[in-house]
Amino acid sequence: MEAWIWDVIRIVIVSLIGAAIMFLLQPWLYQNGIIPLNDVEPEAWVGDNYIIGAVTVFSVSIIAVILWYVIAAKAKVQSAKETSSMAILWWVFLLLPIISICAAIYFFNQSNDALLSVTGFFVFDILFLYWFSTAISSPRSLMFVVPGAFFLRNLFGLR
Amino acid sequence: MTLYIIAIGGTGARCVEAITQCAAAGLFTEEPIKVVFVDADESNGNLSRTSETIKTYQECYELTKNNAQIPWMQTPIELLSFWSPFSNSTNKTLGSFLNYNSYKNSHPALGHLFDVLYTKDERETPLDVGFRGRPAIGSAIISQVNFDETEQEPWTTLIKLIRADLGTGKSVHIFLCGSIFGGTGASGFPTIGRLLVNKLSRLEGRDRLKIGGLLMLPYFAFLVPNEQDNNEVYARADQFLLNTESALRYYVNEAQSTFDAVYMLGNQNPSNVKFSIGKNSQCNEPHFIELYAALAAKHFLLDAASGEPGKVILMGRNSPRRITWKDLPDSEEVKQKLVNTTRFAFAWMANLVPELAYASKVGVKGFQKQAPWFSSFFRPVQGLFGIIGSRDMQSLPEFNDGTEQAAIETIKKWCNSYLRWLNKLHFSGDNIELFRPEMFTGGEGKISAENFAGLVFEDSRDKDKRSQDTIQVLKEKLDAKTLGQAGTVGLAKSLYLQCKP
Repeated sequence: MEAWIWDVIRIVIVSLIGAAIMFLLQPWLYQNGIIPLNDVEPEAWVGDNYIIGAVTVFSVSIIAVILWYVIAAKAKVQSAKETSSMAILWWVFLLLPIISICAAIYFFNQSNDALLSVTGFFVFDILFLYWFSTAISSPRSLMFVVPGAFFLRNLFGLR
Repeated sequence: MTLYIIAIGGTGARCVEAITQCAAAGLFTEEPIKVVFVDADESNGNLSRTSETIKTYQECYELTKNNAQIPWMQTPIELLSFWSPFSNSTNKTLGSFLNYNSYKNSHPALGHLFDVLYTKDERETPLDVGFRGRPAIGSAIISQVNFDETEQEPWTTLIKLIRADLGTGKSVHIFLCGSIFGGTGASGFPTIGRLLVNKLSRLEGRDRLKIGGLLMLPYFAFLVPNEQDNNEVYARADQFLLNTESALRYYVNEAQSTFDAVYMLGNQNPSNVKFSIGKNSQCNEPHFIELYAALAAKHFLLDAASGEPGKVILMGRNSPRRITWKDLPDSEEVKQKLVNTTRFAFAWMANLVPELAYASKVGVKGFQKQAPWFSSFFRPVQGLFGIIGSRDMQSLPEFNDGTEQAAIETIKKWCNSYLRWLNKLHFSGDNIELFRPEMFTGGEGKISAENFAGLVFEDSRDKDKRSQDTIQVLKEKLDAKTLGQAGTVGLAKSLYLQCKP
């Protein structure tokens, strides 16, 4: 099977796992009081605030992953030196999910108690959705450009 | 099946240069080619360049041998020796070599005959620059070779090797090549051919021995500079056709008893070369006809044995001033192998050499992240978490190891030699429409990787396929596991495999 098909499969799997974490596990932690929220009603906050923020962060992260993959696949990188500019592009795309976290927290978070935990969750989510999926699923010529990709790919035997 | 090549004169040496480059492209077999050079001019530029080409080939062959899966560099080429009729003699004029003065006194009649056959200038001109385009001088000197004298090297060794090959049941092909129109080739070819046949006819297993010859008819010419002394003895291009005509008359009868197969190659549009009497300055650039010479040697080795005696095969090109792939014998195989090798040499020089130099500059740790193929062939730096990584990686060779660096240089040297030869033969006069040599003019650092897809004439691929044919795409497919070999040599072989058209 072509390498890009495996990449797409991995991106889909990571996205599904990410979605499960963001839309099932993390709300569950709030709804069951494992992470206590005293200034808001957890059930209502999850429905009215968290989910909207999570959808924003999730969507932007997925868009960033797709954008990175398409641009990286179309890039005509002739030499190792030319991968440096693509590495910069990867960092630029990382800004999108980071901005989405800021927007989600600024517009959709009504709880001071949840601020720290939800920020932490969203940071973890974008790391998982954007960094992890691009680290294990980037086009072959740029497969090690993502920070930590060399280690991760070797760890999972994805060469 | 061993191929012995006896290359006579400068043209013979140039034919061997082409044979060496074609052998690198896998056009011969895995059986050895052994070469003997015959030239009175030991410092002949053509000979020096061919010797250098063989040396470069041998260095690369030693690195890459045991190529079961790819044809590149599959033929061992051995340079047996160089022979000059003046090797053991300080007498380097015709007169002194044949004891003219002594004959003149002891046998005046012979002395007078000598005077009739050779002018005073011909008798007294030093011949260490070659036979100056005079076959009559060369024949008299070369015929002095005696295969029965044990001290006559390299002939003794040559005969021993042939005898040993025949003794082990192998078949042996001896291929003589030289020009018919100059001095050394024209005189050495029939003389050595005849002497060899006489000697070898007494060997056991003679039926497994084939002798072939390649005669190069005039294919270049030169203008003699005005300042050149008219009375001096030197080759004259205006005599080439006359020399050829006389020689061909001789071969009509003589060749059949000496050779199992004779090839003749010529070009009606002679290319202009620089005038030279001999020595280093006699170094003509490769010519496309020499590619045909190499293909003649290939045909003799692989196909001529099955030919009918007395059968004459003629081939020519379709257009008078143009050479295309279709004009080459076995064009499909030749095109496939030459294209494969050229794409490899081009990709190595245009991309891999600069990339590996950059790797040395930035270090393995930085480079391995920028070039994914790298860690398939060389041991990566794995940092703190290295212990978790694959154990296979630990067995890979170190990029900075002296052996690996030397291998990069050796392959680079061979690629340069091959591309230079290929480039020059495209500028040998006619329109040679095989490759686009302007794309690899200039050598290292001056060839652009972007030209990769457009190297070959008569490329039938559509625009889409051509646009996807980049060195980058090839590099993405490089994998040491494909051929089971890592390091520089594994990288080169893997690239060669991917360069298959």
